[in-house]
Amino acid sequence: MNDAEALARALLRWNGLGARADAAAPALAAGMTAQRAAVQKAYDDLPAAAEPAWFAAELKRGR
Amino acid sequence: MASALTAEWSRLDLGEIAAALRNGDVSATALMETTLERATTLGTALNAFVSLYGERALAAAKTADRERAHGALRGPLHGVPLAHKDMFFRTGTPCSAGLSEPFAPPAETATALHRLDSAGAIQFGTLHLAELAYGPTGHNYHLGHCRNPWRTDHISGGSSSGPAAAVAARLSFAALGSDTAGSIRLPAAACGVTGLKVTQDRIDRAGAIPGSFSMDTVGIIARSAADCALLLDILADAGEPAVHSGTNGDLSALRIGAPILDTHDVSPAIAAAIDESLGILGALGYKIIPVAMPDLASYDAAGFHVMAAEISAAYRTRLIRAPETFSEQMQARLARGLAIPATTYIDALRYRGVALREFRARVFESVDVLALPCLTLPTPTIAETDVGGSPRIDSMIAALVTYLRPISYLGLPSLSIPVGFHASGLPISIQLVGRPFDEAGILKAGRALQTETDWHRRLPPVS
Repeated sequence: MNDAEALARALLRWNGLGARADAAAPALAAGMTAQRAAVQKAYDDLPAAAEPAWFAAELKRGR
Repeated sequence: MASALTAEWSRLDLGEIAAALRNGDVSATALMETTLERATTLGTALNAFVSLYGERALAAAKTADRERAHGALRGPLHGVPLAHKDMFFRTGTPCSAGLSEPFAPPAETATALHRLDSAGAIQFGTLHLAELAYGPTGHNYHLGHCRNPWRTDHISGGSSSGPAAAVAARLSFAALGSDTAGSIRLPAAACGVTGLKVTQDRIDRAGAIPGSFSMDTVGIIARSAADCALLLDILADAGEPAVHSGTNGDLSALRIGAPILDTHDVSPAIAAAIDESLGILGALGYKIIPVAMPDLASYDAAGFHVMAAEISAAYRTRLIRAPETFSEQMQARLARGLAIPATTYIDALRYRGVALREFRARVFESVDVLALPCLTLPTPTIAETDVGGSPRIDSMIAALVTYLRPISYLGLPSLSIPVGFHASGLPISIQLVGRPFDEAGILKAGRALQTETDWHRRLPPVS
């Protein structure tokens, strides 16, 4: 089981799908990896100004 | 029940039939009898209806006639029979939402239905939809699949399948639908009618079954852009500027974006129909300006995550406790949403504002309205898209919503209008996308196009 499958299974189990999670996880992971990567890339490519205001405030407080 | 009227009355558009009822050219009772008879025969052939309110609707029509005889008109739609997607709550009436077990009769009526009631419209039934308004084809494994009135072996599109099929077949003068990722524009395109997806929250969503609270919109399927404008004025919040009267004026100030598309992604017939439509608008005085497309694929991926996570969160409890109330396909799709990590969902939401700013800068700096395809391929058959709960779900859906879901993610208004036909006899449509809350702009362009063409007036074989 790869990382994506393990994550899908864990999330489905956490959501209460029980044994059905094991059967569904491989197909979900295969289908979703590319789309997750697209979102991640879109977000990673954002300029720093896109960070939410609370993030800058936390940085200013030195946390 | 004997038909009291000829089918010609059913072929009038919304504005025309409302005027005929106001003037007493036709009685609400006779029109309702004919409407119910057509819904029973043609509606059954298309599987377009979920329920008919026969006695209740006839009684309301008789009341409307009595009121008119005494000079009392409730509003601009006095006595007009309408049916709507079966996802809007009405007090004391079950709502199927496309599931095998309907929601319990609610205590409140949806805001949109209440506003149509106040305008004098009479709801005579509810219309087919995908389970939870979450599916782009018109398949429904509980209700049976909806049929396209142009070719009944082809999909009606979804999730507002019944509204599109019924309006196309002249079974309802218009209908409420909803659009989360294309659910008005896609069936409107497949069935050759006009569909308005509004800016998010332009029409109140209270009393409509929830799916994705970040992307759901209530909208309209009608026979023309003018009818959409008429209904939007009734459905929008009080105090908003009227749209209908402002959509019939000077065109030359508007700039239309001609998309620079990857021709490998769009069928030649659809690309040609877009070009022809832009040529008509150009001849009317619009300025046509080429526009390079932003990265719609990233908007689409983000939109998928927002929508899937939210609808799965909304129905998780039901999925766990009563999975048999969902089809195998819906169970698989809800499971997908549950497998989205919180960080991916939050990234997708945070990207939304940036994406909208980018889209506005890239597109709406230079144009007022952007023309885009609705479907990129000819409308498929019911059999071709019958993928059940298999892993092919995602790719099948993605191919249908390529140019629709990104616009939903951005929350923009968009009007789907018919602009031609494939050689197969199935309609071709385009969508006109506008700035946030500029429904007037896209309706104006759509209305102009429909004054010069008659695609929206053609009748399908089942009508």
